[in-house]
Amino acid sequence: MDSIEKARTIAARLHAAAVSRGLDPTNPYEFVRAEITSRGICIEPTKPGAAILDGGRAKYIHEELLILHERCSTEFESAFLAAHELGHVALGDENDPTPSINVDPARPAEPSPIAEDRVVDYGKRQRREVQMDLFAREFLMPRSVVGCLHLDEEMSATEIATRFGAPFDVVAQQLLDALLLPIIEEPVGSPAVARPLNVKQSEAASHRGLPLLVEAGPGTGKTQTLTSRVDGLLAEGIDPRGILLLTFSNKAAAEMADRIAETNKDASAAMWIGTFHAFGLDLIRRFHAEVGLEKDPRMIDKTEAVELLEEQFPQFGLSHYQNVYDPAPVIDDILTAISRAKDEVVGPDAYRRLAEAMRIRAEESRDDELRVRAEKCLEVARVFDAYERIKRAKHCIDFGDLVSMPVTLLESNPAIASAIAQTYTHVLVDEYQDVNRSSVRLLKAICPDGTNLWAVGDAKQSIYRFRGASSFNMKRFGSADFPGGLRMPLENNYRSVPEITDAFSAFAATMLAGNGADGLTATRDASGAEIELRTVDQASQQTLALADAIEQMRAEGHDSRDQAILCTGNEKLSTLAGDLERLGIPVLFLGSLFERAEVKNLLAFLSLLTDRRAMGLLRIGCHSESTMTLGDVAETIGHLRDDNVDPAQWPTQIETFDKVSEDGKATLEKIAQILRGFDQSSAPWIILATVLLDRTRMAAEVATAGSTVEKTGGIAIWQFMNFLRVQPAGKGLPVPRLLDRIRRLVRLKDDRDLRKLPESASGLDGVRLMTVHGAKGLEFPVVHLPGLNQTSLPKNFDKPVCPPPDGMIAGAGDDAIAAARAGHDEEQECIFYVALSRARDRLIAYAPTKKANNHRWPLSPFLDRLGPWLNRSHVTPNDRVVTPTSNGTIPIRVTGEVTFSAAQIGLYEKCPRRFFYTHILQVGGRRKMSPYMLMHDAVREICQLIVSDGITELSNSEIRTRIDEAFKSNRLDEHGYAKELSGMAVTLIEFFLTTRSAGSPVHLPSLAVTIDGDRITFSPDDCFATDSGSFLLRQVRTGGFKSSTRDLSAAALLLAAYDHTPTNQVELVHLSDKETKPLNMSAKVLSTRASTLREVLGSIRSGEFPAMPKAHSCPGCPAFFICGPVPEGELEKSF
Amino acid sequence: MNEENMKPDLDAVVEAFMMEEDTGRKSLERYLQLYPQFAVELLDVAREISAIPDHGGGTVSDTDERVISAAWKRHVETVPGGATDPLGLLQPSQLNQLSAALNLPRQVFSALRERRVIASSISEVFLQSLAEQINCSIERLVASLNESPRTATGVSRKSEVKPAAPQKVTFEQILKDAEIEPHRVTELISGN
Repeated sequence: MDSIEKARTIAARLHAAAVSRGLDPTNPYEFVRAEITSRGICIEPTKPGAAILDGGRAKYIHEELLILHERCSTEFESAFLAAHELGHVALGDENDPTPSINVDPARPAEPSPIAEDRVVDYGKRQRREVQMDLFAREFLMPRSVVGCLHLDEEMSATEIATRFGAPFDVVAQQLLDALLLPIIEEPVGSPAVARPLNVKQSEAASHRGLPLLVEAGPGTGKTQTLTSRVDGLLAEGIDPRGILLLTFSNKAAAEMADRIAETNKDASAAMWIGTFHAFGLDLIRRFHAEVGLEKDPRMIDKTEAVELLEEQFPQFGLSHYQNVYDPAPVIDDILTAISRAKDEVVGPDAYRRLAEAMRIRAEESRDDELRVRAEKCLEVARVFDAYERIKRAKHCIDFGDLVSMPVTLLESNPAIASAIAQTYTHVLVDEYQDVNRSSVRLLKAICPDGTNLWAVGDAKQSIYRFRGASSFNMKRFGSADFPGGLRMPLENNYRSVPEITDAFSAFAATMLAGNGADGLTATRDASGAEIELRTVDQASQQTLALADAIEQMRAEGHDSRDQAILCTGNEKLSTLAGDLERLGIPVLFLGSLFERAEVKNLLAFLSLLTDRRAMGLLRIGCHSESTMTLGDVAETIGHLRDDNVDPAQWPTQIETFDKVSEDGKATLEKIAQILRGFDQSSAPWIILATVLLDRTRMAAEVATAGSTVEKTGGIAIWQFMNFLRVQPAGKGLPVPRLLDRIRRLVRLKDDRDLRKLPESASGLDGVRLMTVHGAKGLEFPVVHLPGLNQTSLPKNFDKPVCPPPDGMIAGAGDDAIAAARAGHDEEQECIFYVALSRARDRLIAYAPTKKANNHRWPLSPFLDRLGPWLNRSHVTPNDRVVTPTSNGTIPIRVTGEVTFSAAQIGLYEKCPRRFFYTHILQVGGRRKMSPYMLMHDAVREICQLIVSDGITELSNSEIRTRIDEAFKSNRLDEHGYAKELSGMAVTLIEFFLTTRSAGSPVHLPSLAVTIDGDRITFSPDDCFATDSGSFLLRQVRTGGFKSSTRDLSAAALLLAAYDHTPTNQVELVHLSDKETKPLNMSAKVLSTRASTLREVLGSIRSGEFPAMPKAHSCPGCPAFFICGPVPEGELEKSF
Repeated sequence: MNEENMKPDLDAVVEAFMMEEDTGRKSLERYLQLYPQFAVELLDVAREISAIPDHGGGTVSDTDERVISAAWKRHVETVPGGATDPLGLLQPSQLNQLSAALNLPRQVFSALRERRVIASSISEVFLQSLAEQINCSIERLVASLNESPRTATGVSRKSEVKPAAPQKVTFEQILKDAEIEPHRVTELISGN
C-alpha cells in the first residue's frame, strides 16, 4: 500500500468515526470544522489572496494550532481546503509551514503517464499535496460511501454531488476510483523483517569521500544498501537538502522516498529524489532564462513533435527521407535519431559537422555507401535544426532536452555549475548501467571531482540501449569518468534459490557485458526444484503448456499473483493474454489501452459526436442498455449517408428514419438522451464521466464484476479517463482532436506507458504478464519464460532507419552501425539475464520445436549457456476446453447480383472486416484531409483531365497553371508551404505525362469479369491502343507503391482485362515512386487466383468478415474506434 | 484556563531533558519544539551535557557542535523572534485568549507574530491594548514587530515551490484579509 492509499484509508476511518459521533457529511464545511476543532485546532477563513497565506490557498500553522483557508465561492470548496489541511494535521506535517498552493479536489491518485507527467510524476512535495488532496476527498466523501450510493441506491454522480454540495467532477473522480479500481487491502501478515547489512553492504553504505560504484548483481540488496547510506548520512547531520538521489524511474523514486520516510519523514521530503529527467526539468525551470526559455516551458511528447514537423515537412527539401504522401512515419524515425543525438549532447550543428566530415571522407575514399549515409545524416541535421527552432518558438521542450539542456548550461556556465555543485554535497545514483552519456556529463557537472558520488549498477542488467544507455559508462567509471573512483561488488544473492542463481551466474560468466562472472553466491537453501525447459511441438501448444504449468505451480502453493510470464516483446503479449483467458487462467494484463473493448465502447460514444454517419452505433448497439439490431443500425447509417446530416445532429432526424423499426427508433432516442447537451466542443472527460456515471450503469456493472478480466477492464477505463484529463491544447475542437491524437499515439507507438497497469491494480489476483523491460526491478516467486527460440532471443539486429553519423556516440568507435550491432548483441544477453534473475523459487522456460510449416525451429542458443542445471523435457499439454472466439461471421442475406471493383476486393484480402465496414455498411471515407492528401487529390484530378482530354504533352507553365487552379479550388493555395507542395505536384504530373508520351491514348469503357454471376469491375485510369489490336490498360496511383503485382486485386484486373481481349496488357503506375510495373501472372497462378476470388465472393455472401488487425494500418482505418462486435440480427443487403 | 499548563516550569523542563536517556539531537529537537520558550536554556544544557567527560577538557566535539548549531538554526527559523519575541512566546491557548479579549480573529495575531505587519501602520491604541494583554512594554513589542519577517523553513529547493520572504503589509490589509467588517477596520486603524 503506498503512502497515498494509506492517507486515504486514514481519512475514511476518520470520516466513519465523525459520522458515528453524529456529524453530518452532507454539510461538508461543518463536518470538517467540527473534526478540526475537536482536535483543539482553531480554523478561520481569510479573504482569497490574504497576505498571511503567502500565495497559497490554505495553511496549517502547527505552533499556533491554527488552520487558515481562503473563503471559497462554495461551502464544499472551503471544506475541501480545510480537509486538505486536516490531512497535514492527521498525517503529521508539523515542521512544514509551506502553504498549500495547487489544491485540486478532482485529482487522480496517479498521474497519467503521458507528456510532462511521464517525466515529473508527482514530485515529492507535490506528492505530499496530492496525498492531502486525496485525504480531503476521502474524508469528505469516502469511496465506500459514494460507491454504495451509486451501487445500492442507484444514485447518479450528479445526485450524489447535489447531496454533498460537491462539484460533479470531484464526485465523478471519486466514483471512478471507487467503482473501477480494486479495493486495496492492508497487507496481511508481518512485514518483511529488515535484514541487517552484510559486511560488503555496510562497507559500501558507509563509504565516504572518493567516488564509488557499487556493483550490485540481482537480488543483492541494492535498495537496502542505498537507503542505509542515506540513513547514515542523515544520522551524521548532513543537511537532507544537500542529498541528491537520482533514480531510473518515477516508481523507483517514489519507493525510495517512502522507504527513507519510514525513518526520516522530514528528510525524505527535503531531499531531492527523482529521475535524471525530472532533475533536468527542475534545473530548466530554475534557469529557464539562462537556457533561453520563458518561464515554465511546456513538455511535448513524440506525437505532438511529429505533428509540429509534419506541418513544415514540405520545406525541408529532403530526398532520402522525402515522403510526399504520409510523412509521419519517417518523421518518427528522424525524431528517434534526434533523441539519440541528445543522449550524447549533440546538437544540430555538431550533428551537421559530423555528417559533413563523413561526406568528405566518403568523397575522398569514393565510398558510395558512406556517401549515402552521410547524405542521410545531413538530412536529419536539417530537420534537427528546424525542429529545435520550432520548439524554441513555441516555448516547448522535449524529453531529450531534459538532460542535454542542463548539461550544456552547466558546462558553459561555471558560476551556475559551481552553485549547483555546492548545493548537493552527496549524490547517489541508482541503476548506473542505464545512464547515458548526457546523464554522466550532468553528473560530472554536479560533482566535478566525484567526491561523495555514490552509484550502484550492474553492467549485466543494461537493457536500455534505445535510450542511449551503454556499458561504456560502467567501464569508464573510476578511470575516464570520475578518476580515482572505486568499485565494490555485492556478492550475496538473497532473492533466488541456488538452483536459479547458479544457472544465471553460469550464463553471466559467458556474457559480453561486465567483466566475466557475476560472482554471486546464493544465500538461500536449495529448493530441490531444478530450473526447467519444457518444449512442445508447435507454438499453439506452448500456451497450453503454460496453462498446465501455472496450474501446477498453484497446486504447489504459488498463487496466480505470485507468478509472472515474461516475454521479450510487446507484440506477443496481448495474444498470449487472450489465449490464457480463454483457457480460464486469470491474467493481469492491460495491453494496448485504446484497443481494449471497454475503452472502444467509450470511444464509440465520442465518435457519435463527430461522425456524420454515426457508425459508433455499431458498437453502442451491442451494449445491454442500448441494444439495436444490425439491420436498424445499417438503416440508420444509410439514412444519414443519404441525408448528409451534420455531426451529432442525427437525433433531430430520428422521426424521419422510416426504414428503422420502432424499437430501433426508441433505442436511438435513448442513445440521444445519453449524449444530450454534448457536442464536439465538449470536454471528453466530462462527456464520458457523465455517460459512465449519470446516464448509464456501465461503471456500476464493472464494479460488481467478479473476474480478473472484467476487473482489468475497469482499470482500463480508469486509466483511459485519467489519460483524457491531460490533453495538450491544440487546433480544432476537443472531441475530434482527441480522436485524432489517439490514432497518432497508437500509430507512433507512443502509448507504451499507458499499457502499464496503475499501481492500484497491484492487488488483483492474476498471473502477471509483462515484458522483461517491464519486469525490471521486480521479483516473483515463479517466472515463466515462453518463446525461447532462435530469432526470438536473441533477436536479429535491425539496422536503425536513421543511423547516427560516425563518431557521434562516445565510446562507439568510428563505425556507428558496427557499434549498434555490438550493442544489440550485448543487450540481448542482458535481457535474458534480467529475465532469469527475476525468479525467486521456480523458473520454467518454454519453446516450440517446430514452426507452423513443420520445419524445425531451433532453441535459443542462450539455453545451452545455463550450465548443467537445466532440466529439459518435451511435454504434451493437457487437452482443454477453450472458450471459442468470434470468427467474425456476420449474418447477412445478399439479394441480387454482387458487383465490386478490383480495388474493393483487394481490401477484402487485406482485412475482411474493414471491407465489411467500408463496402457493405458504407461507413468508410476519409476522416481528415492532410495538405498532402489534398495535393494528391489535385494531382489525381489533373491527371483525369489529361486523360479525358487526350493530352500527351504540357509545358511546365501549363502544368503550373492547372495546379494553381486546383489548389485554389481546394484552398491549398492558402497553406504556408503551398509552393513546396505545388513543386511536388509538378514532379508527379511531369512523370505522369512521360508515361503517356509513347502510344496512342484511347477511351475504354469499364471492364468486368463475371464469376458465378457476380461481377468484378476494372475502370482503367489510362488506356492505349497497341499495334496488335489489343490494349494497354493502366491503373494510376499518385502515392507510393503499396499495391502488389501478385495480390487478388491485381489478379482481378488481369481477369477483367483478359475477359475483354485476351491479349490486353495491364500496368500499375505509381507517380510518387516514378515507377511503372507490368502485371503478369502465369495461367496457373491466374487460375488459382480466380478460384480464390470465387471463394472471396462466396465468403462475402455468407458474411465472413473476420478482422485482420495490423499495428501500422489499424490506426488509419475509419473503423478503428468501433471495430469489434456488431449488433445482433441479420443484415439484408442488395448491391 | 489552567495557568499551570500555560506556563510549564523552566526547571522542570530542563530537568526532564537532562533525565532523558539520550540527550542527543533527536531529544533536543523534540524539547525545542515542545518548549520553544526555553530554547536558550535547553541549548545551554545540551552544550553542557555534551561537553562533559567523554570529550575531556570541556570542549565540544565538531559533530556535537554541528548538531547543536543545526538544531539552534532550525529553532530560530521556526519560532518567530526566537526566545526574545514577546508574541513568539505565546502558546495556542494564550492566543485563543488574546483573540477573545481583543475580539479579533486568530490570524491577526499570527500575522503579528510572523512580523508581517508594518509596525507604524498599527494605531497606538491597539498597540497599547495588545502590549497590556501580553504583558510587555510597547517598546519591546514594537521592536519585535520591526524585525524582518519570518521566512518559511523546511521548504525544499525544488522549484515547484517558490520560496520568498513575505513582504510586510499594513495592519489595515491584515484586518481586511481577516474579513473584519469595514467599520471595525476603520475603528481599529484610527484607534478610536
